[in-house]
Order: sequence, then C-alpha cells, then structure tokens
Amino acid sequence: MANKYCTATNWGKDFFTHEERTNFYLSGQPGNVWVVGDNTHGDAWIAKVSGVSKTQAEAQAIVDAEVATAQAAWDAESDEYKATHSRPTDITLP
Amino acid sequence: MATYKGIKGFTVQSLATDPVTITGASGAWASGGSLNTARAAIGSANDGTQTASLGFGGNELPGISNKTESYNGTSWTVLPTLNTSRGATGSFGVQTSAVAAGGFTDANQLLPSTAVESWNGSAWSEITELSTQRINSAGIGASNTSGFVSGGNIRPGSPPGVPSTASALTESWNGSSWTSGGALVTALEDNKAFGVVTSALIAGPSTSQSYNGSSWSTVPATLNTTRTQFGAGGASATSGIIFGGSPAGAVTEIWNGSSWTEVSDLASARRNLNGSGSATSALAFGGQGTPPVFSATEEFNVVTGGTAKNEGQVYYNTTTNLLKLTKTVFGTATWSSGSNMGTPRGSHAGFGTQSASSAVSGYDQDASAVTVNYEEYDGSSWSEKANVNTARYGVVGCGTTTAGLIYGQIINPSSVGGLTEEWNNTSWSVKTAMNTSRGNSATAGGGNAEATFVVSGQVSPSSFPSAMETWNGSSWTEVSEINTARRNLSGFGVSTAAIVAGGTSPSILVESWNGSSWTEITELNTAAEESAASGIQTSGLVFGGAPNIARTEEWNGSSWTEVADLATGRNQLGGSGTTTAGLAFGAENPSGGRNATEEFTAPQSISNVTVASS
Repeated sequence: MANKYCTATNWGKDFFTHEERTNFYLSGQPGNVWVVGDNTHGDAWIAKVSGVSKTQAEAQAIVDAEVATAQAAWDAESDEYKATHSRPTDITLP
Repeated sequence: MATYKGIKGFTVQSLATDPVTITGASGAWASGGSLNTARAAIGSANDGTQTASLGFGGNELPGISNKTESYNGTSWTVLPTLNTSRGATGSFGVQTSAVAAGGFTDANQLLPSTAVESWNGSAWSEITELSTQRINSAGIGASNTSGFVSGGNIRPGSPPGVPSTASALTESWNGSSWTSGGALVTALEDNKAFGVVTSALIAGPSTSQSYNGSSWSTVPATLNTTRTQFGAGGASATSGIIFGGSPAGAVTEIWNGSSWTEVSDLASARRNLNGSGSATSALAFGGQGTPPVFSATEEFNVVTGGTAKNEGQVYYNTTTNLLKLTKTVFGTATWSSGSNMGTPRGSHAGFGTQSASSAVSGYDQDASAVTVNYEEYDGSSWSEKANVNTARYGVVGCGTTTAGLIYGQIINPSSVGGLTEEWNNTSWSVKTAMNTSRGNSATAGGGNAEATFVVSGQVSPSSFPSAMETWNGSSWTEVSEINTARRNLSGFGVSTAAIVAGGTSPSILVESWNGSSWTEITELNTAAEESAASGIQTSGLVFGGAPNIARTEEWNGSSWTEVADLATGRNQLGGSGTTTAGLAFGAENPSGGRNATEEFTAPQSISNVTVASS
C-alpha cells in the first residue's frame, strides 16, 4: 500500500514542514482528510499531528460527503453565481 | 590587449584549494566516531567540548531512548541509562555533570514533561521538577548545579493538544530549586542556545535573542538561512556556531557577536541533531532526516589561513585546473504549512513577500459573504488590520504591507466594479476607479503600489475585455490589449515586465508584457485557471487552480517545469513572493484549506561551482 489515510486539523505553522514534504507524500483533502506516504516519516508525521487513522474507504467516504455538500450548495445557487464559480468536482483519493 | 583586470578592476585569483568561508577563518567538518545507538532529539551537555561530550535520551524512531553515551574525541561509550526514557529535553552541563529537563516521555512525542534528572558522572537521579512542562526548550549551564532552560513547546491540553504553543518562559536552576528567569522577547520552540548562564544566545529562527543572566534582548542580525531544529555550540553570547536543522539541512553558520557567517556544510544534512563545543571546535551528533535517525558524528575545526569565500568571486583552482566561482545555489523547494488566516477567503487580493504579505477582502465561503477584512502575514502569523471600504471578490492588488493597492471587483455574478483603494499602512482610502470595470483580472505590480497594471478579466460572466490599463499612482490609463482575452488568469512581475498565464476555460496560454506590447510565449505544461502566481518576468511560479489543483509550475524565463505540489489543492487562492520564497493563502475549496497558508521555500547555500567551458 503506497499511502495511509488520516484526519487531522491543520493548526498552521509547522503542521507540515519543508523537511517533511521532502520525506513523504502528503496531500490535504476536504474534511480534514490527509493522504500520507506510507513510510516511517509519514508515520511520524501522523503521530505528530495526532492524526486519526482511516482506511482508504473511510477517508474516501468523508471526502465524498464533503464534496456532495459543496455540490448541493453550488446547485442551489443562481445561474449567475454558477457562471462565475466552478461546480465542485468529485475527488478520488490516491 | 585588454586584460581581465583592466576590464573588471581586479585579477582572477589562483588558488590551490576552493574558498571555504566568507571571513578570514575557514573551517570544515570531518567525521567522528558514530553513536552506538542512532537517534534524534538527544539531550546534550552542551557546555562540553568536542573531545568531552555527553548525549542522553532521544528518539530512536521508533521508541523513546533512555541511553546515555559519552564522547572522548574518538568514540562513544555507553554509560548508565536515564531513569525515564525521554527526548527533546532542555539539557545542559558538561560530560561529568549534566541536567536533562522536561522533554517528551510518551510514544507520540507530544506530551511535555516537568520531570528533571541530574547526572553526576556515573548515574542519573531524579531531582526537583520544572514549574512548566516543556519540549525542545533551550538549555545552558556549566554543571548540574547551575543552568537554565528557556522557551520550548508547552503544547497544553490532554489528550495530546494541538495546536502547539511556544513558550517564552525561562527557569533557572541553582542545584536545589527552579526559579523564574527573564522571559524571552519572543516565545520560541525548537531553537537551541549556546554560551554560559551569564552570556548566552538563542539563535533563530531568523533573528536571535541574547541573555545576560537576568533578561533577554533581541539581536537584530539575521541568520543567512532561517531555521529551527538545529545543533549548536559556543562559548558566550558573542561566539558560537549552529549547524543543520530545518530547512537548512547541512548549512553551518558562525556567530561573532555582530553577524552570522556561513561556513562549510555538514557532510550529512539533518535536523533535530545536537552538539557541543565552540565556534572553532564543535561537535555534531545524531539527528533525523534520511536515514530516519543518525548515529553519525561530525567534528568542526577552524583551519587558519583559508581563503575567503565571497559570493561572486571568480578564481582559478591550480590543483584541478578549473576556472571556478562562488554563487548562491538553491536546493529543491517544497511547500510547508504557514499559519492559518483569521478569516477564510478566496478570490481575494494577495501581494507582498513570503514574510510580509497582504490578504485583502475576498469571498468567505464559510460565511457565504464577501468580507471587508484585511490581514497581514509576517512570516509567522496573520494579524488583522483596518478593513477596506468596500467588500469585494474577484479583486487583485499589488504593493507591500505598508503601501498597497487593490482594484476591481465582482459585485454580484453579473455586475462588476472598477473601484480602487489604497493602503497607507494605517487605513484604506478610495482612489480613482478603473476606466473599464472588471473582476477576476490579472495584475503584476510587484511591490510597487505606484506603478501597476490590470489586464483582461470579466465585465460579465460571458464577456472578457482584452483591454489593459496602467496605474501611475493617481489614475488609470488604457494602454494596450492582450492577445487572448480571458478571466481568472494569474500574473507576476512588475508594471513594465510581466507574465500572465492560464485563465478560463482552463487555458495553457501564456503572454509576456515588455512595457509596450503583449507577446504569446511558451505555454504552460497543463492548463490552469483560478491559480495564483509569484515572481518576476524571468523567474516565476503559477500554483493551484480549479478544481482542487495542487500543481505548481515554475517559469525560468524560457520554459515551464512542474515542481513541488501544494499540500492542499485549491483554487481562487492568493499568492505572493518569489520562486525561492513564495506564499499561497486562502481558497474557494469544497472544504478545508480556505484559511490555510503554505510557504514555498528553497534551501540556499553559497557554493563553489565550475565555470562551464561553453
């Protein structure tokens, strides 16, 4: 498995560092979901941010729910709004 | 015949070896004996020397360490263990008399401790605890009866609390009790100190703070490479050395009491290492990076008679028969997290530098409303300033945190405005509006609020002007037209030399402005819209975009290269800075990242490079 999944709230400065970005794959997704490269550095980062581990399916479900909410909000907007804002697209976690 | 000296006024030096420093004294790192157990965040008797040092505890990744080892200048010897495994302690002392204060004792390395242990040369014993729990505090002291710890991460809360919180507290130890010392001017964590209890310095992240035994004061001189998690050694507040860290990696700098000078790099780049010794004879050991934890020890020694390393110096190496020069070399850049904005926003105006940036107005999706809010970033945190007069989104801007300009707006999806507002470091005032009202346009005023331009954008959801207007400090004038009109394109550069890239639908088009006309140039590798940008005409970045794009492309003046992704993909974000120090902030995302900041940073060092023959 190439990636791990967790939820964690980005507290800002030093949530992820330059060094950490060079040591493992990291991708933030809707719903505070983070896709984390599966190596010792990634494991250490999950511990650092008190990440709550998720399976890929669980993480995908969180993202899907967030995107669905955003899509519903966009669908309820006026045609004028839609003309200037893109409809949120589905996201498939790597 | 013209000579080099005749043209440049000086000769090309002939040197047997490459320059190694930019001061009179040079130094180099050599390998020492390896630790018996590799680990990071080791405690150090940092008043020790290069040939008599002590390392204790740390993080073995995985596992917290209780191991103690002593160094004799050649090899490390295993000694009796700490009573409690711990890492990232506030540590001080010498090889035969030391203190390990606080640190983390849990497997997640998150819970700070107040526990303290004392080393008498043969065993550790538990002594009076700190008043305040802390991780990664800076320690200074000559023995287990005299020292202090200052700063650190106090990470309040249980279970493991986030966000982390830096401390300004100093606690002094007299051999029997801890008493409150002077508070740091600025709270710090992950920064080490060197010196003695009456004359010490905590370096970085950029400026430093000095201690006179009772109070701290700011030392304005800045490090050449901003960093935390480094190792340090030194004799006093006016003489020391720091090495490694994040994101510095291997970079070493010497402090002479007034300025920092970069000297030879560590052989192994690493962070969360520790050390001891002085500016002329230092020891570095342990740390983390690649591999995850280090056992490697390196010894720094000054070599007298070395040749000064000055950036831009040209010389002929008589040993290798190569013409060489010294230049600043940038490493691979990545995005790291910055502090979150107070108000989430997208479609806002963003301008400035990585350490002095502005986020103005925009659309707050969380509140489903445009915001009048204005925030400034100082490299560490965002602070709220005076509101703009008219809330708006689809706005662009330029200038600095002390003199800024914003212009254009989307009023509602079918209506736009041309309002201009100027920031004078205190308040926003309304200025002359643009000739063509528009939003979601491109601009590139760089840091100059007195000379900028706006180009293309939208006057309605389906109508995009090609017209360009320039600002002279008081009014807008139509001057030219872009080749392909579009909205949600991004721009970087200055008013007379700029690049605009991408745009709806999305587009790969790129155009260059030379001060009088637009020319289509090399296209982006991947189409982008609602992106942000930073840089100058010959060196820029375009990053993010719709939908949820994390991609970053770098422009070198002739071609685009995809470089490190943002951690969080996002569109309608703000951007500022350069290609080696950029900033991304805000977004209009489905959720998350709407107030997030990321910093694009390329590590830099001065290196000797060979002049190519062609």
